[in-house]
Amino acid sequence: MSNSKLYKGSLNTIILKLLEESDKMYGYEITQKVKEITKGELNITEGALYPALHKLEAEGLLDVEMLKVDNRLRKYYKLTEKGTKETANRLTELEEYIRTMQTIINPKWSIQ
Amino acid sequence: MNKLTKEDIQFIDTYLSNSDIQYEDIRIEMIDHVASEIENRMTKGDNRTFYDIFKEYMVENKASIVKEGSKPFNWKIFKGVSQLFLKNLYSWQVILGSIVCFVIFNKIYSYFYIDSIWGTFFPTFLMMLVMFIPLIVFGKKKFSFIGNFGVLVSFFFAFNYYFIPYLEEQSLFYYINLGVMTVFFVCSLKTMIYLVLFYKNRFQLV
Repeated sequence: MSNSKLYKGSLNTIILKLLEESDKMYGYEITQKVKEITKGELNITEGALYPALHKLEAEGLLDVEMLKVDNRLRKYYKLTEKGTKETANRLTELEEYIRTMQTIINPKWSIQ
Repeated sequence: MNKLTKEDIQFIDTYLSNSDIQYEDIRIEMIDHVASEIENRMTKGDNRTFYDIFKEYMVENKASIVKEGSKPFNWKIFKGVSQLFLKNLYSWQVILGSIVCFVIFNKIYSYFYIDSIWGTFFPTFLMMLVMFIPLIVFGKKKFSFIGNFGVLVSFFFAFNYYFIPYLEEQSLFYYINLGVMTVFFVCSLKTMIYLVLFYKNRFQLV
């Protein structure tokens, strides 16, 4: 994961958000997408990504599909119905968190 | 887009296996991750050999890969497999199977005059055989959920071992203990069959 612990708490939400925007994704693809969107600012390591994916899968938020691609097996993840609902909840939660943090860090903004 | 050969993939597999990433399901994902990164670097113009790029990647990332991949016990997986076991406890197959086995075990014990101290022999012995099912189906291949399920089953053996000295023939405690061990055996069998079929279907191994 990137240099900041702040990102760690949002990793699951980031994964869910990316999967919401595409049909299915595999682990490496997720890391590359995050790197591309954040212009290299956020770098998710294997040690952080896969436990998070496995946890979301165990919670029933992600479904898995195995495909043989280029001489190897590839594990694709996609949102379940429960996962789609949970993504909306978590994004709302994250947006509220960001707003709250902004009011603390920049009190002037909160007056407006 | 450059693609790695079967030999390259086999090399990554062997390397990760030797780095203690023993669970097949975890390793398959890691192989794809490492291979994708190497292919990406090659496509972006890295003209070095597969081996040189692989070596560089491993120097940078091995600690992160091995940290999560090499754990034989994983609390999250253990929790997941325990929840599956608890869910199976309430299934009709386990309830019916436990009743049938309980009656059969008692019939066998009374027919052969088996001593009370051996009262839980059948369910524990059969539970041990359950743990051999993955070995028969998958050979040496190990899977994370099955490995962590083995930890749960070892608790049942410990439970049985602890109560053996307190077993007295015809006592209520004896029957309760035999009943509990019978339920553990039948539920372990159902859970193991589920896990084996799950991995068999997912990885199309057999």
